[in-house]
Amino acid sequence: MKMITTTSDYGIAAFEYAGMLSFSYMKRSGLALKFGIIKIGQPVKQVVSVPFDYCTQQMDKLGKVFKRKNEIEERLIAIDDRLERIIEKSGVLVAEKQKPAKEIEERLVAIDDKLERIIRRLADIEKSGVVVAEKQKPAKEKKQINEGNKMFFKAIADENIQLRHQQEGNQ
Amino acid sequence: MKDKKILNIGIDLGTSRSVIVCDNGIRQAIPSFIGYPKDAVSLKLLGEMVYGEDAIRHRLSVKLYRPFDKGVLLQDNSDKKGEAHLKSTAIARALLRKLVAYAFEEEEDDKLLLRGVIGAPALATQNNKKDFLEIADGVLDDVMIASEPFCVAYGMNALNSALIVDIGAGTTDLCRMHGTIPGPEDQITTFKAGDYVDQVFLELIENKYKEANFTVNMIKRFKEENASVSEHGEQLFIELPIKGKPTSCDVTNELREACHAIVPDIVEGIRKLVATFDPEFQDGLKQNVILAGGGSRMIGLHKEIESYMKKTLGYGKVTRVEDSLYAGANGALMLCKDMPDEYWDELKKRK
Repeated sequence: MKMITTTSDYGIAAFEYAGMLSFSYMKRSGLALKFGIIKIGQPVKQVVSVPFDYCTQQMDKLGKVFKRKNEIEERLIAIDDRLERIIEKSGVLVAEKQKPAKEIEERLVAIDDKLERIIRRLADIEKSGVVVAEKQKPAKEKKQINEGNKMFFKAIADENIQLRHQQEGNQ
Repeated sequence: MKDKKILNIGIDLGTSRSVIVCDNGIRQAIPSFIGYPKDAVSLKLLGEMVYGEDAIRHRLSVKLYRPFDKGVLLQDNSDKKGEAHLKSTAIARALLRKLVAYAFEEEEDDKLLLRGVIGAPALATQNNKKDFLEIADGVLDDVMIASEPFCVAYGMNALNSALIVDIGAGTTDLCRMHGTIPGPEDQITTFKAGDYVDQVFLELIENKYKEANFTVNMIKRFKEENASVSEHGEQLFIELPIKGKPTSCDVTNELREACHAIVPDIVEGIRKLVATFDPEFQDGLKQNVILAGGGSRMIGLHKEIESYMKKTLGYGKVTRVEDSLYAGANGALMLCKDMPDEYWDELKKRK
């Protein structure tokens, strides 16, 4: 009986040991596999992940833009409204200005009529021998004389006057 | 008369070229030549008179006249009006009339009052100046005569501390400007100018190419285009007929020698004018030597004068006017425009 008990104990121990051993092997090979994958995978990941990271960033940005889209749309609508109001206002101004232009036109027509009457009257006066005076000429512009050069002008003029005198004397 | 528009004119009646500049923008230069047809055929072909380039071109069929010699009217040797003098005056007047006609090409001449200043050589005598007045009678309504180098200085606003060297065809005028009208002691006139260069050039070519057949007119244009005193210029060849065959002749050294012929008198004149000036102001003169006139276009002349001044006077700065042909007439025009009306009126009263 004792032998049977001992044998079963050994059996159980052997089974436990086998179990532990196999667990150990499995764990070790699992760890080895994990480290192997990490060692090889990390550089690959670093290379492969760059475009994905970039895409992700851009998508984030786009997302932000889309988020602001509504804000921008709202602001554009507000600007549009303000522009419409300005155009409306200016339209009012133009309409208001058109009123005096009509008045001016009427006045010009009246002046035209007056001028025609004056011309007709002048023609009648001219028939009686009265002539319209010539347009008065503007006063002659005076030369800007450099005072420093005046003595040169005087000397040259004097010499020429003297020459004229001599010429007259010879004649 | 009072309603007429005043047209201001600056005139340089030169021995070789006559120039007119007006305040309506017209400016014209023509050779100072007039040709009268020799016979009925040329009269029919050319008309009563031909001027400038046309006169030179048709010189075989016209009697060619040049009214000025050495800057003044030809045959001007006495107060007595001889036939030659009257003829020269008439020719010069015809030339002036032609020049002035350019001035009112675009205007109605009966509505214009022509007011002009004519440049005369620096040391022209009273008689020479009176000749200019006589030439202008009947062509210009009002006229004044002014020294040519003074006109150049006035046009360049160099009325103080400047030495003007106006190299024309008949004369080279040297004039020092010191803020007053230059007197005779401020001016030197030499007769070694463009015509003298032509004469020397002609003699040198004749000596080198004895069989060549040519006239002074043929070499004059060549000289005007290539005149140089520089040692480093390119070789110059002129085509001259030798026994009827056009032959290329090397005249590099001959032209340089001919151009050099006027340099000693110019530099000696500069030395005299500087040396006899107030010692305190001599530096100003040395620093502002201005070359004008057709002769100033000679390549290397200003450098040559500068190097001479460096040797004899210590240093010197020589510049050339930009518009050498028109510089005198431009100054005369400016003088004419700036001259106060009261002086013109005063002159008219004395006429």
